[in-house]
Amino acid sequence: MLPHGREDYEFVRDTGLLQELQDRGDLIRAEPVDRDILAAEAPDACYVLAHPRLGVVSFPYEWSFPALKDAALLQLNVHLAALERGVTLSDASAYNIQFEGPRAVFIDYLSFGRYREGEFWNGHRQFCEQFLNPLLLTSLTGVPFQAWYRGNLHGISPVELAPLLPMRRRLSWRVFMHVVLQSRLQTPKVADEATRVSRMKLPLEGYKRMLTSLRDWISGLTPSRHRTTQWEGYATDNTYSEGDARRKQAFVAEFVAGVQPRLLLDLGCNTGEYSAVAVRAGARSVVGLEADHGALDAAYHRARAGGLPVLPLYCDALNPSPSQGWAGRERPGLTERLHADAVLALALIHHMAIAHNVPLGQVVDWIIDFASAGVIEFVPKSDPMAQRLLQLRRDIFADYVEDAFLAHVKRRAEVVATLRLEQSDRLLVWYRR
Amino acid sequence: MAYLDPGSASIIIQGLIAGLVGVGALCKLYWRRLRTLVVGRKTGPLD
Repeated sequence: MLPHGREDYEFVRDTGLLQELQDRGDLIRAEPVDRDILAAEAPDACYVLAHPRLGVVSFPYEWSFPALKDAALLQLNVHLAALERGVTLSDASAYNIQFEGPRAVFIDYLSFGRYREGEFWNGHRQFCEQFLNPLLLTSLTGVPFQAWYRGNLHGISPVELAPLLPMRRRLSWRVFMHVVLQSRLQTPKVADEATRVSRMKLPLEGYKRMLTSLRDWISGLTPSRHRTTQWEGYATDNTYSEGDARRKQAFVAEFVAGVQPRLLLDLGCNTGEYSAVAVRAGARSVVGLEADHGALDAAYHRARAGGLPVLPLYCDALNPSPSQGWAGRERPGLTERLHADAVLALALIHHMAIAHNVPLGQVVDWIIDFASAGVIEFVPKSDPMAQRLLQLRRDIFADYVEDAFLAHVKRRAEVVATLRLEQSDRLLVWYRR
Repeated sequence: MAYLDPGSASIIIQGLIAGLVGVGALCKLYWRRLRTLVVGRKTGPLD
């Protein structure tokens, strides 16, 4: 906290708002500590706040639809609580929110400042770009927002979104106001008029009504039903017999109990079934990665409903989010941010090796690099799921055999235990390196 | 502390929502744009 922010911070702290939000779990806990610990980096600092370390830092383009929606609602709720105490938020950046398991938490103490009577909502446009418009894109057109958001870290502007919306949607008054009108009025000609309006006073009640109306609207948004999803039904529609499924769960549970990971990474987590098994077996937290939006949303809902410390994130295993933003370093790549003690790669490698032609040895290396212990499932070509991947293409995967897989694992690690699934002939390997 | 450009369109909309901008005045200002929008011209920028 530097001198120019001192007055605002002291004012906000003394209103009791920070304590209230911390107690609700909406604001990350942070306590002032001795300023000298940052004497070298920030000699001018008047306050230094320390907060508990987050399990993993994630960005909005990695969140599921329901996660971005929860983050949007948190942003509005924090702002409304602030206004009740004469405090406001200077911005509305989605990057000010992080997740602890499936729970959104506000992290930016510097966003709070004294509310001045009649002031406008400075963060309105940013809120639209970083929360509302990505949600509307998926809700009204069925197009997932993640790829676009990753391509433009500022989110989706009204000018870009408006032309994509069906006419029927554009005429809904809320879409009309926040998207269509905002896109039409974003011109230099309007600037003079805006200057005139900005000298007027926005009544506090009007300000709050705008926030509550957005909250009501966003609460009711759901992803469009037209959205394609391939793997959502996988947990109920797969090639395991009931006995095999039970043995696979027991094997994973035994592995987790043996390793006691602080953070377990569930690659290709699907609807989060095995993430939940891992938590029950003693994993302190789980991050799941999944590229199918329907499965990802289901995994998030499962974690929310069960109060599980599981955060499912959107990730195409063949193209995880890169290091990007200012100077290419502002938002580090996803794999750099994951510091896991254990990894699960169940029913995953045939997608990478057969569907996407990644050499089997590279797939195994990529998985083992994540953590010093893990379970990898080998799905043989004879398996119906692998057959489905092969049915429309020539089999050029002579090296995709179990012996080769085991040799790749043993080149990097020690095999602690294995489990053969009888019906499907799949093999689970517990490695330790 | 406000280091964010709120955007002129956002200001007008907030003014509208709060009733600071007379609806009649706005209609007069932007009638042609609104009309084009409602009758559904789909292509090309309007400015």
